[in-house]
Amino acid sequence: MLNTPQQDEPKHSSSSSGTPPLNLSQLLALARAQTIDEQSDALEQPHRAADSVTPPTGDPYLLFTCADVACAAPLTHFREVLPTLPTTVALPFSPSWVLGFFAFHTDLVGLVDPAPFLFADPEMTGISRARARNGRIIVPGLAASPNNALRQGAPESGPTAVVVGVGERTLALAVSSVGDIAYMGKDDLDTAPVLTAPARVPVERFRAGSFTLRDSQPAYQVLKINALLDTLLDSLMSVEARSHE
Amino acid sequence: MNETHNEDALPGARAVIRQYIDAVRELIAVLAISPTPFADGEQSWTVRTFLAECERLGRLLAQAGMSDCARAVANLERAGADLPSEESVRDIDAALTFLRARLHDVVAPGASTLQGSADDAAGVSADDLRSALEVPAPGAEDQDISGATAADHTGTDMFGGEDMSGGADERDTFDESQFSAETLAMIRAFQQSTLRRRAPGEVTPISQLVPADVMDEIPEHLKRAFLLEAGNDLATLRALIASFGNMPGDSDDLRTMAQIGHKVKGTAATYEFPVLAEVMYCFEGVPRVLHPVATERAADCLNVLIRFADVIDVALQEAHNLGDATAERLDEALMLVANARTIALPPDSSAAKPMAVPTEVPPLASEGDGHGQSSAHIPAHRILEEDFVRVEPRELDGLMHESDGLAMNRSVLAQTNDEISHVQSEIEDVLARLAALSTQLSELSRMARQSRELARLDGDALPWPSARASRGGAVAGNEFDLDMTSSLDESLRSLSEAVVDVTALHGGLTSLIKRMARNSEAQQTVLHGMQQTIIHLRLVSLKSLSDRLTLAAHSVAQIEGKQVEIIITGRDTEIDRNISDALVDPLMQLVRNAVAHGIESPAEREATGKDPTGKVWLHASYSGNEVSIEVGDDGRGVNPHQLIAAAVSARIRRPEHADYLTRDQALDLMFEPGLSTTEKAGVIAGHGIGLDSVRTAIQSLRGKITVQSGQGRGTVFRIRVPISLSITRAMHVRVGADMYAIPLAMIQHMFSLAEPGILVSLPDAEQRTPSARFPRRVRIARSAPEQPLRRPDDPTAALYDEVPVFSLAELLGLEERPQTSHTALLVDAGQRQVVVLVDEVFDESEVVIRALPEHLRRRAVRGASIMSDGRLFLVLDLADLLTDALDSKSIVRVPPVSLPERSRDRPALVLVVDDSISMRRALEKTFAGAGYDVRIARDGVEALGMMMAELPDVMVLDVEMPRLDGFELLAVIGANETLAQVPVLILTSRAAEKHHRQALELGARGYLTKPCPDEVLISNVQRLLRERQIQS
Repeated sequence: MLNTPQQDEPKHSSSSSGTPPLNLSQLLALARAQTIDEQSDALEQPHRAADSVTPPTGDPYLLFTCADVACAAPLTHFREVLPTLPTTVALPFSPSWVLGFFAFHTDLVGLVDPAPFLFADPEMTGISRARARNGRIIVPGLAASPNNALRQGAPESGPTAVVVGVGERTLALAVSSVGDIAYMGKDDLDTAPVLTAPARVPVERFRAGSFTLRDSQPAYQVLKINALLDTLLDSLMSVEARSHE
Repeated sequence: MNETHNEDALPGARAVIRQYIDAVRELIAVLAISPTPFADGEQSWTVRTFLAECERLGRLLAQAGMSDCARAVANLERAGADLPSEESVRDIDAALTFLRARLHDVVAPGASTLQGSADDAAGVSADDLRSALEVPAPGAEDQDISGATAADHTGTDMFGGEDMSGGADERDTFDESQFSAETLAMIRAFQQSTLRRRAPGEVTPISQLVPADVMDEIPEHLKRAFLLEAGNDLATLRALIASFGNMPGDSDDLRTMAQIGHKVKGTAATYEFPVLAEVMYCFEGVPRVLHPVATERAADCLNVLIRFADVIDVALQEAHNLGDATAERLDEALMLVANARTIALPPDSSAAKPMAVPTEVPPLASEGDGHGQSSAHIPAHRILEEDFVRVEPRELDGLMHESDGLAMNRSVLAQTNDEISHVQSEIEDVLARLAALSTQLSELSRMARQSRELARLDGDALPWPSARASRGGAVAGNEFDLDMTSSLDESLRSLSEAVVDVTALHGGLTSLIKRMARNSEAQQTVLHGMQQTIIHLRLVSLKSLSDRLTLAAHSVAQIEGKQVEIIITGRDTEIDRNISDALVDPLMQLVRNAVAHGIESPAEREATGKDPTGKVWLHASYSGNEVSIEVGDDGRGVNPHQLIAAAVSARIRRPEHADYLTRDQALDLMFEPGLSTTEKAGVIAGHGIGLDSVRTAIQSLRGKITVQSGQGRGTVFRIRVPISLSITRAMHVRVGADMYAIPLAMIQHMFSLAEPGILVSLPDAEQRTPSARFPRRVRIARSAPEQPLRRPDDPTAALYDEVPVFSLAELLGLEERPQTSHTALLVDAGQRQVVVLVDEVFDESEVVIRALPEHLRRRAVRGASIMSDGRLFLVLDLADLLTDALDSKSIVRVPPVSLPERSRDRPALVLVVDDSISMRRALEKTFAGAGYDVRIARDGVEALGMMMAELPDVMVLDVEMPRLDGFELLAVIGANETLAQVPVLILTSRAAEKHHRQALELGARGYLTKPCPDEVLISNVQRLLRERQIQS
């Protein structure tokens, strides 16, 4: 079964019983309220935040786009989704897909553009090195339409990075945007290889299959993140070796 | 239990008991090394073996009448079964203490309390024990492969007369009726196992002592623990040998050496290193053999001991790497034993002539030729300690104390955080009150407007309320006014209270912020302390290193027939363990050189009025974050003119360049590879392959080496290396948008290119000076002008240094951009100075270098560090960057060459240039098979060098190669008239049209892509050769 978390209709209540305590910004909003409606809005804010979500079924997949291709991968493969592209330090003697490295908690983690590997096109770039270097560029995300699978009110991010792997074998992958989490059963995955691609698709060794949330939408390409990670790390090691020649 | 014995039966039985005692003793040692008694809920191998041994030993001791020991063993066994309870640990301690004392009396060499303790053993007299343990077996001399006589092992000399070889009495007979069937079976088993041995020193491994059901494979970590311990024993051994060298008559040193040998031998056999055990067996007899002649033949004795220590060192390394020492090591040990015995013979003996024993230091497997080859030789105890760090309890206590400090600080921070939350809540209260006040004031404002409106409607323009009151206005108006006034007052009061509250909160917050700042500072202090403590844990003193150097110097002095006094100061100077390890080879080479070449013979010294005993010294001291090591001698010194002549002769410097060398620069030539002024190369030095390795090794440690020398006054090498590789003082620079740190040790000077008086403009392209081959260079005025030794024609030569210029962006391969910066760093690149341009220079500071993950490591990047504002930056290794730059740049401009014509009778010469070994081999085979003369080169640089030596007829060239790729090489040779004559055939995996076009534009005559059939390759080469013939 394929689904996304469904929201109930907002439950408005005038009763103060069970109302979450107001925080500072809400108090300020209340203090600044000029009209009854504004005061009412300010008082309703906590209720809206506390609305319940029905539990989904299936395995969670993170939806994201890489070089404008809709992709997905099991959520368990990701260590963290960064809010924006991190500010990186350039690494000398590295190819263009190595965007640099940054401090991730207590580790130093490389940021790479997986697009040239995913699509077997050395010329392809998902994120430019200059953008990665500057970091913290917040590009307004596309507001999700009510018809798509993304949670309403939670727009896709701008370019950012997802962290995969453990220990020394950790990398951050630069992606165009990160969307919502979709829950998918095993039967939903179409594992047939793409013979004649109408659009750009990842190479088969990094592709587990695809699925579609809505008929009208393009398919999400489900990635083999671990295979991609291994390839990227191997390539980085060979770059490292060449830099010492 | 049989308490009465046939006296004849005792020796054999006690031999067995002693075997068991040895085994238990080793197990006690194992337990001390690896105290974890249980693994995965089961008894560990050690404990199981221990218990089994205890059981058998207890039975034998009881049968032998040593009931007190048997009881102690029973206690030991019982307590061992209860491990790891606290009570059992206490019981074991008590039982071990007792047994140690008794076992020492019975087994240990030189047992002074033998009589007393034996008397305590019921049913066994001291004489019985002594005879059981000390009387050699008949024919022991025949068995002893080392050639040592029984007297060597059993004499009543300072060694206490005890036979430490073990198993010498295994041929004793005994009355079988006195023992139980089980005991007899064990005795037989031991006799069989010992009789088959070829060396009496062999000790039965645990696997033979312990039944198969008890014995598992010896855990690897225990073997490593033993080797670690043995490495430490070797260090002690070396210290003792050094001590013996100073006081040859001190028998204590020799005794302790023998004890160490005995201990390591036994443990090695127990842990199934049989060859190592035999080597140690050979060694343990040597101190005894040498003792009688220790004073009169001190130098010979010292020499044998030094060589033996080196043999043991290599044997330990082999045991670590290969699983055991090799037979070669045993052969060396046997030769040294024979040499020791020869030394010990009376002077008038017909056999006094020493046997054929190598007169140099035994060849250490990892030392290359042993004399300066860059090698990975690391002392055994260092290799073995890779997995271990020895930590003093007080250091752990210190770390714990600092950790407590962090925890306390954390609790203060948590409390401060709570207080800040409280302040935040109070601010929210005030805000709520202010919000209410705002509403109140709005209401008042509304009321005021109403009041004004009412007044206007009444037509009363006078100000209210007084005006309206004077007019006898309505009571309602007054009440209205009163209400408003009261509300206003209340609001003002509330406002005042809010202001007071906010002021108080502000004060509280300020105080909390200050406290936070103090906490943060305290945190930083504690963290710094912890960091220092942890770094300190990795530091080792130079003491063990100095012992090795002393021994090496003595050894070389003896070989060279020189008298040398070794002076070492600063032994307690501590340095990172890795750095200490890496310093072994360079320092060893310097000390060997000092003795072999620096110090003159006694006759020479006397002839020049010097003390016949030369001095070689090593001073170590701290210098900030670095350790300074000076290795010097008061010998003959070095003649810089000879060095220059040798450099020119070896084509290391061109004659015209040599003219510009100053004294220091000339002395610096010592570090050039392949340069030696020694007429006769010996085993110690003189191959010209030592000092360049020394400099390379020091530079790899981010260190620096300089030399000073005066003819007849000696030579001094000064080395500076960081105490630790993880912290360094660095200068922060900016290139483009990026920040980098450059270790200060590399930077000599910082200046601006625009600064007047220091720099002269870029010179023209004269090919005169050594730096002329670099496209950009500057002249830097010398602060203390030093005249070149050869005094060239140019009178200004003494006034400046001409230095190549690079931009850091260019070195790092960053995007090309116009160079506008004038900020320059004068950098010491080892062989020469280099100016590096950066965009901006900031302050210097101490940076903690964090290693990058393996896949992110890059050439010339030491790691990353973080600024106080949280920004990351790279710490660069400029030496690494510049080495490549200088190498590649140095060959870009090739001077005109005239090469000898190749004989037309010879087969055509094909030069194959490819970085792939397999491809080189395949091509070599192909062309050789086709009848060509073939040369191979790994990259463009090597190819260019070969072309300079001999011009090939055709070159087959790969494109992607390190250092200088195919296209770059094409560009270089295309610019040279002579080299450009060579037709080049490109053979590459690059199939793109643009690469093909680029190669042809650069002058290639053919372009083939891999894989290429042999016949196609050969036909193309033939075509190029034909074309060349036609052209010529």
